[in-house]
Amino acid sequence: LKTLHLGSCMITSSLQAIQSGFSEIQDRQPKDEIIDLRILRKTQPLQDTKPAGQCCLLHHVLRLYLDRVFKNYQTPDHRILQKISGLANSFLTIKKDLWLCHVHMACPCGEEAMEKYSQLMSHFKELQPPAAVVKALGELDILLSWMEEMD
Amino acid sequence: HIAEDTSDLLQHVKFQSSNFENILTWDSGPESAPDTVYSVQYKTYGETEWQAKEGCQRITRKSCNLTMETGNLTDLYYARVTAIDAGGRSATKMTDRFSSLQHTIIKPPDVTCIPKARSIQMIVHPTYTPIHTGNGHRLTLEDIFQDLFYHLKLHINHTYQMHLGGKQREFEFFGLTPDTEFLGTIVSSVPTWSKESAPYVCRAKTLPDQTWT
Repeated sequence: LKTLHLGSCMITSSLQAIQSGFSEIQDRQPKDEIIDLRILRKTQPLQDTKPAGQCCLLHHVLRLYLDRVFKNYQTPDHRILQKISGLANSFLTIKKDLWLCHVHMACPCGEEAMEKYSQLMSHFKELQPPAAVVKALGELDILLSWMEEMD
Repeated sequence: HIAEDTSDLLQHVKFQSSNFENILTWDSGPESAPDTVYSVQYKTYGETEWQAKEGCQRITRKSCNLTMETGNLTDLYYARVTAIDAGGRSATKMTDRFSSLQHTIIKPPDVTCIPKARSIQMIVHPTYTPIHTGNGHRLTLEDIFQDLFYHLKLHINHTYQMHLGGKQREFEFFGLTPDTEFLGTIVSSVPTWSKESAPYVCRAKTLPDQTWT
């Protein structure tokens, strides 16, 4: 288990298990052919966000993955669907912990976090939905490396 | 006009990375002639321009060192090779997305084994990578992978082994029989990225015990 320090919100998560789950599907998912565009960009990483806003930004990104990526991912391969469901459950667990921080007033959504999230969403919306889903799923290793740096 | 299939000129374009030394390699195709020349380009994922790799334009060898060009740990990269044969036929193939953090393999650690009369000390030396910080400081594997740790085994006999492990660099196996040869293996491990090096192997013979002569 890894402890993530997100401002005054502290949660634990098994990033290694998520990384392993992702590695198992990485080679079997459709290739992201759009290599000139990146959704999770270096200009909006979690770790460069002010600590106070990190919890909120991560919460919103996880919600994006849950509501618009995992839910809309299409594949005939049920094993991949199983793995994606496992990833979604891991994200749900983290999101629930972040919500507890919110309840305890430790997850404020400041201007910077919301600005970064809206930029990220605009990159996501630049693409057709199916392509955006494939790209976002392919960028899960980027999100995990952002989370990895939150110790 | 039917496009000629030239995919037989070039295959297996991929990065091979160990300790963050990132080498692009490829194979010629079954039909390609020895005088086929290759040119390499690389790009950062999310950007539009491809960059020509100086020193790897119209080469005949089948590898190109892209360590410096792919050295930013937060970036992901692509590379592509264009093969052109004497007849002017050409083919271009691209790598998968490359992340050095994810794809690099860890080499065995560099260890000095120091035998004493009743113990063997093992000192793991830092492993420097080609990665530099902004102010020119060269990073070690330990700097990059915060959870890197070492796992040491000393084979006492066919059935019995002693184990030590941790993030520190100095270890010592105690309680050994003097004037006896032992086999030690040391492995580097990074749980977060599920990486584990091949073992460094050292043979050491404990010294004769002078205290009782």
